[in-house]
Amino acid sequence: MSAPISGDFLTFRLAAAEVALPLGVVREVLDRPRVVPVPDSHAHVAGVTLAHGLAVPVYDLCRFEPLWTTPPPAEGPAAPSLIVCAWGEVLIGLLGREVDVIDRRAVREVPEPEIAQEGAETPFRSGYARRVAHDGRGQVMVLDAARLFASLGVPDPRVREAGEEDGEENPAGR
Amino acid sequence: MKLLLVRAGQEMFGVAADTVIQILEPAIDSNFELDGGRGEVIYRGRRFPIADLRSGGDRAGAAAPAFVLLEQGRRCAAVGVDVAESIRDVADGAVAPLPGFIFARPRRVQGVLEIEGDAVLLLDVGAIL
Repeated sequence: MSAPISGDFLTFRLAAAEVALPLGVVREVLDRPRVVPVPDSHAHVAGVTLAHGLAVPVYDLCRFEPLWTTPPPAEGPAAPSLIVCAWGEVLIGLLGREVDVIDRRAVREVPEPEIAQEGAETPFRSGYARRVAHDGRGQVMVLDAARLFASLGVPDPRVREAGEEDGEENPAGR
Repeated sequence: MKLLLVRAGQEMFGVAADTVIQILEPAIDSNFELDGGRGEVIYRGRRFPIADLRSGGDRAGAAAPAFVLLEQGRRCAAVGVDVAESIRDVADGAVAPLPGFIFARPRRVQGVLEIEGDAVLLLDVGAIL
């Protein structure tokens, strides 16, 4: 059973998919920031950008193979928007386009039979996203932020709060 | 701290100036040898293993237009770059550290800072040597 829909969402386009994140994890959206590639980083790390004096790692989720059933072409550094998310004390930037905000009142869970009717195909691997229906847009895939960020190797804020290591050795792609 | 700013590919890097012992440009300097097979610069009889930052750091650096020779303690390296640009004095607090979880390999960059609108990646000399 999915968790109830309890907040608004920020939506954006990731390749051909319209995806959403809970608005609560989004710190800000930057318009075409300068992204500097970083040697020795993971292939799905497009680089880093500076925001308010902090280094924000920039992820191109199109290059993150564990997310996709069939990986799409990379967004690349020319993607128009950077969605900056706060995960505990860590900032993470996600490249995207066509960013918007939708009200939770316009969203409802999609019952299983309806999913089957629509066709259960999703571009994402199991566990990374759930499908919701939006009154004006049809179906939107809500990314599971905890699962996604853990897979990217981002330290779990609950672990940080418990005083453990900062995830330096966390392998991406779990 | 003083940084030597170097350009490698499209990116600008900063390296602690007190670790730099020489900048060599093969086009105009003849006082060194290049051992491309072993990936080393030989300068005054000493061998400097080459680290290349261009193309994401994966390319052997024997063809670099310039080498920055680094030394820290008894360890040394030659960093292949396109050009050495200038030396700048920056405040220690100006460097924003990069999180370790973005790296797939041992990291050679420790942080990023902004100098005159350019984002500059600060090299971790200890990791390069």
